[in-house]
Amino acid sequence: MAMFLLLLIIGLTGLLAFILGPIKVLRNIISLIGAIGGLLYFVFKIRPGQAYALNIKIYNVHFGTGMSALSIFFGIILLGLFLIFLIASFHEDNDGAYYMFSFFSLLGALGVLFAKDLISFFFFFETMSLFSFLIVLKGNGETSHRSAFKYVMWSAFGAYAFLLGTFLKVNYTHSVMITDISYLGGNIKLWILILLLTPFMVKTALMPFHLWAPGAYTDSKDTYTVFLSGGLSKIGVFGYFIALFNVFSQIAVLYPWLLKVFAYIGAITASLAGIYAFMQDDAKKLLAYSSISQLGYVAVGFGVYSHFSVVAALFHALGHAVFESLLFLVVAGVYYRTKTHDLRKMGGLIKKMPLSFIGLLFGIIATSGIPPTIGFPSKWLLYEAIILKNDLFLVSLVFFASITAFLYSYKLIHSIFLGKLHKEHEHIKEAPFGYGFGIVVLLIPLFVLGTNPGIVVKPIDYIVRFYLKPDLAYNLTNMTTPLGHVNFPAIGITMTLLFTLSFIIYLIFGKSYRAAQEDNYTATEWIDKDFGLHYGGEFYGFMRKAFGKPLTWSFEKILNACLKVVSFLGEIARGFYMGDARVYLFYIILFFAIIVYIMGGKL
Amino acid sequence: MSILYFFLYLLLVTVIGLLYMGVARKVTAHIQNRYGPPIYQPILDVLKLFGKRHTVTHGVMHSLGPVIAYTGIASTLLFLPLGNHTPLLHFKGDLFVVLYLLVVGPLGMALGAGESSNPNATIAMARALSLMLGYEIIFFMATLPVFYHYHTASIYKVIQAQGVFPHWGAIIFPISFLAALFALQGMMGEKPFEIAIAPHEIASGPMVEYGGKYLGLLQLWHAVGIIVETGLLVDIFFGPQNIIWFFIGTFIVFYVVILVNAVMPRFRIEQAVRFYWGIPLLLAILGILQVYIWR
Repeated sequence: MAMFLLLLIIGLTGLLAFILGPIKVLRNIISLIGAIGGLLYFVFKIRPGQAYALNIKIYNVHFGTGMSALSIFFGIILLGLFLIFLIASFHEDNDGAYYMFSFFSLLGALGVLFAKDLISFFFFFETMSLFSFLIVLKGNGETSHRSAFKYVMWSAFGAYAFLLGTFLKVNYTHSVMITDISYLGGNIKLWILILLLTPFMVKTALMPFHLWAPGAYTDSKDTYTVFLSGGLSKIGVFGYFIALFNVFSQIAVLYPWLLKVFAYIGAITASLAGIYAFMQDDAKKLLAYSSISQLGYVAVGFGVYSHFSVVAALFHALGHAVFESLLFLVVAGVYYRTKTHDLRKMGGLIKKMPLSFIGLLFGIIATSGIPPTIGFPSKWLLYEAIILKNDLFLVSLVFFASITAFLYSYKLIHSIFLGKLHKEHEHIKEAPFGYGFGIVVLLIPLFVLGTNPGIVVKPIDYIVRFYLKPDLAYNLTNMTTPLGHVNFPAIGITMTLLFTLSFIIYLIFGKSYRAAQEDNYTATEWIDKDFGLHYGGEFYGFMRKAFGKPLTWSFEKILNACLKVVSFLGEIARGFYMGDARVYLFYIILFFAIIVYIMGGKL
Repeated sequence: MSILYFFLYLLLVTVIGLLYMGVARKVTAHIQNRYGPPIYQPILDVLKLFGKRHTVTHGVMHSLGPVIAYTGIASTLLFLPLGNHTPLLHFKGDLFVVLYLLVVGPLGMALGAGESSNPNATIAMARALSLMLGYEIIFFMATLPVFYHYHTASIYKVIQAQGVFPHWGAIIFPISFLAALFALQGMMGEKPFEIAIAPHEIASGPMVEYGGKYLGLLQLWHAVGIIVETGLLVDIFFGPQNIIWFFIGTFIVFYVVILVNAVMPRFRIEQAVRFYWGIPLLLAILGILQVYIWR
């Protein structure tokens, strides 16, 4: 019952927040209590193995819920991020409905984690998609309607595929529960698997299905994007696990090529999204593509399908939740003060918003996978897992993707915080408490798990060990694979010591005095104080030439071409129905004439 | 004792790196029919830079940039075996650690250069990072066959596994070695890939606003960087060497790099990236195919 009580708490808080909508303080307190209560209840009351079957027998269909260790792993990520989102969102101008929708989307996501049969899985998945769609609809961008529409259409596409897969499965196995289908004969099991995987590929924005993500991430309210990108996309990762391990446990034996294709799609997603990311001039769009790129690594981890590649994938999912949320949160805080997402209009904010700068700095370090942050252990594991699977081209592709991360990271931090401070931003203050709180809270796991990955690897290993042969030895701080060995805190300690050493060198020699930002080398050119010297727009403009034409290719263009074909055919079909009575009369006469002709005058 | 050892180690590599820089200036001068400064000139330069009493800074990150850069390269050095010598901090799985730590230096420099609010510096960093899309992937793909062949991700184990002269990585995997040489030229930022520094075009790029001790630290960064980057190539492709032969090996590789540097003009950035995606990429792929066919 514990799970239902949790869902009840979340749902009721959402309703209360809606009813108390106009009374801002009370609404905020209630929603805060609800979210904290939910998190505490989840941590202390819910244990793996708790199960509950709802025996509503409709046509012999059983409904069931249950907790696995994996659900708890993702549940804590979701509830934690939701709390961070909630505290930051109090600074925004939101109404009661906004909070209701966000609580309901959380409810849907938690329900997905609890569901043990495909029907309730579908129901909760749709709840989540619907309410997150409504929130994107309430976003502040001018294009938010269009983005929300795109989002809901892609979600619906995934949902119908899932529903079709469910019906096929019920038809062949006579069970709606999440059970193994790999014993089925013929190729039907492959189709079921692909259909069941589709909504998760949409949710994690894997490449042909990513078109909704940049729009939805950009146009939803800034603080909700933290939850949408960091939290709700994890449901897709959860779904990968369910589909590849619980629904189809023999995939490595029966369809190894499918896994290979999946891994390559993930790697291509990671690379291409990385390239698109560093060509963006909008901070949130850049982060949206970065998010897509990072989730590509997760798909690679599942596609490689060895014990520690899946460990790496789940660890990276957690890492993504930490650093991507951190980045989105900082950008939200910057937007709160500057009212812009345009990277060309910002710059030099480091002097005004130091805490946000530190948050973004370590966020990008983790995104790039530089030790000793949370981004490194998963990438290290992933590389070694791929080499052990003898796929050197895949590992090269993944490495290429990780280089693109350096490019977009630097563009982000430079355009917002470094460079020249704009005149209109001279009186800006640090982002308010809600944002700062989230930044500080997220920095803790970023370092703790980067140097002590064992804390999380242990539970993940217990989950994965059940399905795949373990070949990873680890303790709190060390990891050993058949290829190599790393001591994570040693890297951190070395860097800290050497930093201290370099810092001492820096301190003992000479004094430095501060120069004004205009006081710099311009090759004897006289520069006016208001002259825009910030190099923000067209940051990697020359890469357009390097990539040439392929950069302008996009899936959207292919879809638009399809749309043109369909509307052309539709036009032709519509041509028959002109709405003129004489034309219809002509058709009727023609019809009879043809019948007479066929009958050969036998009437 | 070990702390003393560690300081000596760092000092030795830094001084040797500075001497290499002096040799580079001398050789370039001779090729251009000049006399050139003495070989120890970079050491004097660094001492002079650290001796400056007043230095201009543009902010906290601007000051910390060179500090982070030196931290990054010195950490990399500690994870890199100098020939047969066990590295000071030795894990078996250190290829990826080294590759990722190598990036800390440029990142620190990028952050520092960024805060100077001089567009020259930022343009240079944008170029340097873009060039990484070219050489970094080539270098990675070129070293992969060696690590795959010996079934380890540890640089130290690869050195030990190669054995003496005819069993060097460079002889077993000549195509990959060639690709790695191409990549090294870009990694060292020498012509024709000197796009990030480009003194005549963007005023020494990232260094434009740096002087005094900051520039001194950046010189030290560059000096250690020379040893680390050439040393990585020597370790992976030239088998077990004692420390003297290791430095001779790095010197030979460095000499080749500066000879190319002295006679080459400079690419434009998009030409450089495109160049890497042409022949070097093909070589790297052929190298990987070689190890696949071999097995």
